[in-house]
Amino acid sequence: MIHFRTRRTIGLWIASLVGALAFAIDYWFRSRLGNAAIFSGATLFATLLLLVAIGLRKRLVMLPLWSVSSWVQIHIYSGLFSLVVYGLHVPRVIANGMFEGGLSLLFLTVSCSGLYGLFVSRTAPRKMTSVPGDYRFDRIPWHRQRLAESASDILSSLDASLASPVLATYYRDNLQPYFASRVPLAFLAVPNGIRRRRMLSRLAELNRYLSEECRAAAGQLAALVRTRDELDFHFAIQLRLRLWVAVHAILSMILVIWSLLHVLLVYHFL
Amino acid sequence: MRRQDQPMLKPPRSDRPGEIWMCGNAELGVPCTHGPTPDGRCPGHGLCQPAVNSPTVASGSISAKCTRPTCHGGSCEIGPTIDGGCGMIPKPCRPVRTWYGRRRKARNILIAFGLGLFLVALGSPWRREFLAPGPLAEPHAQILGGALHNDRCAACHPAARGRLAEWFGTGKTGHANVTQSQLCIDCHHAVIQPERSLLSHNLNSDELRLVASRIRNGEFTWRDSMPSPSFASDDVQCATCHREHHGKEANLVWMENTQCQTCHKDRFASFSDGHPDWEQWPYGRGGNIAFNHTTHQQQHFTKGGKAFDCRSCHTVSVDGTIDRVASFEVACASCHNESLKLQLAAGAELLALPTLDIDAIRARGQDPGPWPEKATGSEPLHMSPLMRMLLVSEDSTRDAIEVLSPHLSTAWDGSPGPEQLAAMSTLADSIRRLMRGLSDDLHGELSRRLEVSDAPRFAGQLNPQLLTIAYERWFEDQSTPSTDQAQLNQRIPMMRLAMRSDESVAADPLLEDLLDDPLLESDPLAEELQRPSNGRDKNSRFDPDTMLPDGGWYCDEVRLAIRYRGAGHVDPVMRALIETASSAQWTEDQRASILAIPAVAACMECHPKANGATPLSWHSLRRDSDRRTFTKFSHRPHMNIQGLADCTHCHQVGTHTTVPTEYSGSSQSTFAVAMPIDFLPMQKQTCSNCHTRQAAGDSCTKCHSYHVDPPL
Repeated sequence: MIHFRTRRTIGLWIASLVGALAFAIDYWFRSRLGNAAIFSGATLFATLLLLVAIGLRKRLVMLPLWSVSSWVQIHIYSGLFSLVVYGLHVPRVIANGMFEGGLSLLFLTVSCSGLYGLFVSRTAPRKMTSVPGDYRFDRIPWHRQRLAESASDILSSLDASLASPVLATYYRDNLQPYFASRVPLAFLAVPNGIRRRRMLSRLAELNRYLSEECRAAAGQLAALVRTRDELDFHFAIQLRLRLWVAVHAILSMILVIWSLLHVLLVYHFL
Repeated sequence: MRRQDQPMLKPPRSDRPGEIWMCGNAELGVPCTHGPTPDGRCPGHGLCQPAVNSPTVASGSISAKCTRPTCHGGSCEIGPTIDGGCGMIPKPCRPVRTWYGRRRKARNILIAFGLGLFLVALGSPWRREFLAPGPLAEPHAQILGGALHNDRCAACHPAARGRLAEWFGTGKTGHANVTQSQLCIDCHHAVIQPERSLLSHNLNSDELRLVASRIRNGEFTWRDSMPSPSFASDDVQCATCHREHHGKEANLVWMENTQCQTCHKDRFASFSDGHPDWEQWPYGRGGNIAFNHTTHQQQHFTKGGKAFDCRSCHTVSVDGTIDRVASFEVACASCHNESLKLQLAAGAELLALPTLDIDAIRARGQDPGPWPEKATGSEPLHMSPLMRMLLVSEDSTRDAIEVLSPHLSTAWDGSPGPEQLAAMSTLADSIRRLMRGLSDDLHGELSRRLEVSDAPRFAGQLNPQLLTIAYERWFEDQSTPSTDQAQLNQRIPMMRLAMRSDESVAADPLLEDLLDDPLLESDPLAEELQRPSNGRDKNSRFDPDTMLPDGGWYCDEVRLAIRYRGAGHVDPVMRALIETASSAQWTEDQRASILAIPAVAACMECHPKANGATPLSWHSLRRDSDRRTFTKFSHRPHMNIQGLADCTHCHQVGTHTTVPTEYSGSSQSTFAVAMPIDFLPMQKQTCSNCHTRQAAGDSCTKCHSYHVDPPL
């Protein structure tokens, strides 16, 4: 198996060489007063088709078309190459015209989302590994519900004669809304431990008012708060990954459709 | 308590991440195992068909057992009813979308939105603006600004004509064969000839070959191996160089240097590195006035003690351009006016009776008709070029002149033979008929004999009455001469011969002194010449110097000629004479004989390129700024730079003149007629010091034009 660094080096070299070749061919066209935009445009469109082909590959699992990992590598370096070709085809950041300007905006958005995905797909797994737990995204609501039920069970299991109203009040006012609530948008954007620390510190402040049994129950509630926080963290990171994939894929599809329309128009006016 | 010690339930294994829908009870932890239908409905698989045993006879009750399969949740707590039915109350859930399902929905909505946006824009009235790949350059935008939406694109793009549905259809519109370049030329035909619009540099292959032959190839470099153009030299579409839709401020004529050199055999790095030297440029490109800068600077001005200042002739006009030459009155008259008047005073002869041996003709029994005694003798024939051109229109006269041609300038060696005498007789008759014709219908006779549609302009000021009087005097009023008159008539031919041998004497004022010489007092000829010319004495000599100081036609009774005396610079008759002589219908010999007339030669000395076909050939006007050539240059921006205001910084007069090599031997050069070069070659470095990429710019288009006008 090729080492990751070696694979990256090879990929970068190949992308650079193909990019340089495209640059040379484009220069050759321009030097002979040919229509270099036809070459760069056709190359860019073909690269776009290659980039979206990874989606087909995921669906055509029965065909021996290399591994998805290899296709991801092809996707990454083709994407970098397409940026070079875009620079040749549109020698400015955003093309003139409403339609073509929108097309170039779409391309740049997809490219930026791809670059962001390259970053987030390299950093998110590390982050999730550092936080205990292994939750599937679709099951996280179920886990969240179970944590809320567990907290409720802990409170109800306390002996009514020995239970302190302090813990019950705290549960009713703070813990129950916390376990029942969805993840705040601020946490989704920037996962942090502010809520967890606030909950745990208040629980700790209650200890001096609690009996031994209630103190044990408070400890269990604190464990549930930590678990919920970890669950939210996983949810936020996984949601980020899933949102990126969704945005990248959907915009890519629109980009391909608009590019096809652009090709048809160019062919008509050529 | 540590969170690891917290007991956690295992999640149900009924989630379907690859499905669109999932059970609505999944979050509650009690999803059904079957899940929703593909269209998102809950199938309601809660009920079962309980297994019923045989009823007990004693009690009459029915024993039933729940048969709910494990995949549906297994046996329920409620169990069957007493009558053996399912006791479970069905509670269908409300299925929810999975993440995949939500993502798929969002994808479909957004793709539909994107496609719909395009279709809506395409169907809207401003679809042309939507599809336009960018704003037009300002000149085109201004022109098309008032056009209708639908016509705006179609003005330049044949493909945009017709309805939208026809764009991608197979049927062709009526404009199927119209190209985009043709639409360009429809508007730009005033500056580019349509039939030349697609030719490289708007020149055909022969003209291009001629231009290429004048370019010296430099050293071979790797740039010469760069790709050749992607088009044929006779099919250069406008859009090859002019790319539109790059914005209002875009420069449509901007070209990279490498693009300019695409078609050129010899390519180089930059203006300072590899560009050919000027050699003779900008000299030797024509100019109609012959002016030797070298002799004027180093001889004439030096001797005259005058400063040779370029600006005295080449003045800077208010718009910053430099006049190519000053007028005669400003630049030349102070030195050349008097001498030019003297030269032109010799004028030209329309007619002059040659001296014929009439007596010998009559002695042979032939009748040559009336012929003045003054023009009788055996001296060499003399025939003015103009008269000869008029006479040769008749075949018989042409033959006679051919016979007599050896004696037109040399004396007779012995007596004329019969053939020559017959030719003389024919010539005398032809001259009489010529004079009669001219006196009767001057312009008609000239047009007929010169075979031109309009009468030559040189005769415009000639009074036919003068010809009539001359004819009557010379041919009809032939009274018998007295003895003295006979003697005089014998001497006049000698006098005429002497005067003809030196043309300058004819108009020389000193001739008056000669005629006033006391030694001539006893000479009857002198008396004849000194007799006052009151118009009544037919033998009196008309003095053009005193009577026609401003020039004009007159009758010379001594030489028996109809002559013209030139007035000076811009003499209309001399000009018309030269223009007539330049007509293509004349032979080189005839043209040379006209140009050999001293007064004509004086004109041609400074106007070597004067001709009738090009009236402006008399002037050395400023180069036509509307006429596009390969090289363009404006003095204006250069004059603002200190140091360049001194003309000699770039233009230095040489010590001798040279003939441009490109044009030598080709008087019919396609582009210009050679003029001697009396300047030192300009050095490319003079320009390249400033014209670098970082300073004044070194792009090809700064000094060169692509579109050039075809050669004249």
